[in-house]
Amino acid sequence: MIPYLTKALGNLFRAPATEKFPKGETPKAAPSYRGRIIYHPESCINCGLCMRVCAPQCMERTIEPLPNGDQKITLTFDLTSCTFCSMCADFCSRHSIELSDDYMIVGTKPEDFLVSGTFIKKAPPPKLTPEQIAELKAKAEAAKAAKAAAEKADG
Amino acid sequence: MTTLLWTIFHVLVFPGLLFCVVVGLLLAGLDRKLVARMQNRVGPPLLQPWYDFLKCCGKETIIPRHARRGLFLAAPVLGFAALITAALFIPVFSYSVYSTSADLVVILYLLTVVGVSMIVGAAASGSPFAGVGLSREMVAMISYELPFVLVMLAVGRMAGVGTPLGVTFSLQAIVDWQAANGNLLFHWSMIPAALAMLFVIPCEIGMHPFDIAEAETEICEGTLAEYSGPPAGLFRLTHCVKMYVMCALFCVLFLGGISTGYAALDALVMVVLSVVLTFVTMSVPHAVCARFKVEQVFKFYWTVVAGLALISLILVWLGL
Amino acid sequence: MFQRMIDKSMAKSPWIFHINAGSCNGCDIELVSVLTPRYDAERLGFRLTGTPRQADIVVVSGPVTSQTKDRLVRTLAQVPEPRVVVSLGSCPRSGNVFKGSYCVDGPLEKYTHVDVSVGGCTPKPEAIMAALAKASEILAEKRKEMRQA
Repeated sequence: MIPYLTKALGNLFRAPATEKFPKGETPKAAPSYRGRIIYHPESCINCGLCMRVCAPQCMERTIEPLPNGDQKITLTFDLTSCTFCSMCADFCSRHSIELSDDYMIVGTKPEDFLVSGTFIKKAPPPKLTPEQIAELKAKAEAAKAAKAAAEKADG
Repeated sequence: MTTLLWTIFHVLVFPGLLFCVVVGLLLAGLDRKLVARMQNRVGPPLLQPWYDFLKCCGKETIIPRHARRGLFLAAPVLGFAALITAALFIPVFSYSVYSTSADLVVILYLLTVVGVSMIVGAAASGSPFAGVGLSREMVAMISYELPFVLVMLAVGRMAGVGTPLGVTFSLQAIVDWQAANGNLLFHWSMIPAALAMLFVIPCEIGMHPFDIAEAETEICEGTLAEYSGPPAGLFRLTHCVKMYVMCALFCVLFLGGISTGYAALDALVMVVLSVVLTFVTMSVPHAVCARFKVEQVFKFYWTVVAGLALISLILVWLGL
Repeated sequence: MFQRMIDKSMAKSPWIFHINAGSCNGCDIELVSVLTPRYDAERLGFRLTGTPRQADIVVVSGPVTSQTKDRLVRTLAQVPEPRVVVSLGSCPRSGNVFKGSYCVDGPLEKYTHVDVSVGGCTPKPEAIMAALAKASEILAEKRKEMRQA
């Protein structure tokens, strides 16, 4: 009990060990801390691997077809469902998902916890019908023939 | 007319309600701050107990289905009133208002009423946690009452040697005796009694190492388990005021002779001494010790503390 | 004037009651670490109470299992108004990795209105402090609304 007593009385004359947190600026998290998810939709290729590896299934993907055949793809991360295991970021081959060191995930509404990104997946060029192929082939032949004729005329 | 006005002043302002509440809240705030500093923390602001009390006043009062409504609500008021009445009998050194021939006994009973009101309130709330708490409160009361009475007997005998009864229970007489013959704390035969009284103070108040009745980590605040809103705030306020009343009682019993002659200065000295006593008897044990078990408290008070008080009593009775 | 003083002190002395609704104990440990010397929530007036009757802020952690559901609802009903409910960590809001389990009856919002949520698994003590500070502001607002109503 005597060591405790001397320690307690000594602490009276020492500055407290408390951080001045709510007043000062937010302290930085430790290196490689896994906090709020950052999603870069511009490099995403919609492979869906992140959704497969996510244990709490915190992602939601909506695919919305556009009139010109493209697809509008929205990926939403629900941070109140996330375990911050970083599996999605590890499995992303395009490094579109990142876990930042922002740990201030505090809010009053469900929207405060959503991270989402949208990108447009271009539709592939339409398939050609046999007539179109034949037409293109004919065009190419005609061009070739014209070229050969021009060479002949020169030579 | 003036006597009536003076009575109202005494009851509501100076040795009574306002002074007790202000000093009690100050002591409680200082205690929390000091404990925090000793634990290397910043600690709450000095006015924290005042904020706590005000906040409790702004909350809803829930009366449990199994509670006796009247008794449940009357108990905190009764306890607080008894405590303020006890404070009226304690002279601020030479400034005494209602000191009579046996006010030490009255104070003893009134302080018991404070504890009993807590027990009654807990019993009326009909909660099993409060039931456990009240049984523990009873054990605590039995523990500290014996050394408390022995200390009072020793002091009364020491100050009342010349009187026809041989013992005095008048605080005024004790203060006068000390003013003439020096403070009791500096008589060597009274030092064990003073030590015993120092141990009685935290248990009487229910401060941390002896707060077996309100163990919030074990039995959901014990006696206060079902209280919410203003009644809970009043119990907390009673707790704060009790800190001042017990410190003042110690000052009067053992340091009664250091009166300056001016009431305001006396009050200031009393506050300063109470702060020192709060630090020694409450803050340091709170910061250093863990909570005692129920039977440990009982054993400690009936052997060590009662033994100290008994040594003093025997020495005094032998005329040393 | 007295009423206004009560309004002011409402945000300065919020007492916390912690309910563990089937949590894995991670969030509970972080909540206790908020009271340690390094973070010291007591300097903002926070205090852990042992009884729901004296609580102002109820902190719920865990995905609300079917065993704790009834107790949770009963305990929340015992907290006097004004009160604020804070959900701690991911579990109470969604169920986290336990979602869809046969013994999870969450989320918490089925049973009560959640005022402030902290995300994270587990949240850092700083985030909990920020959430509690926000909760105490909401508490003062609720008190004002109660008085005007």
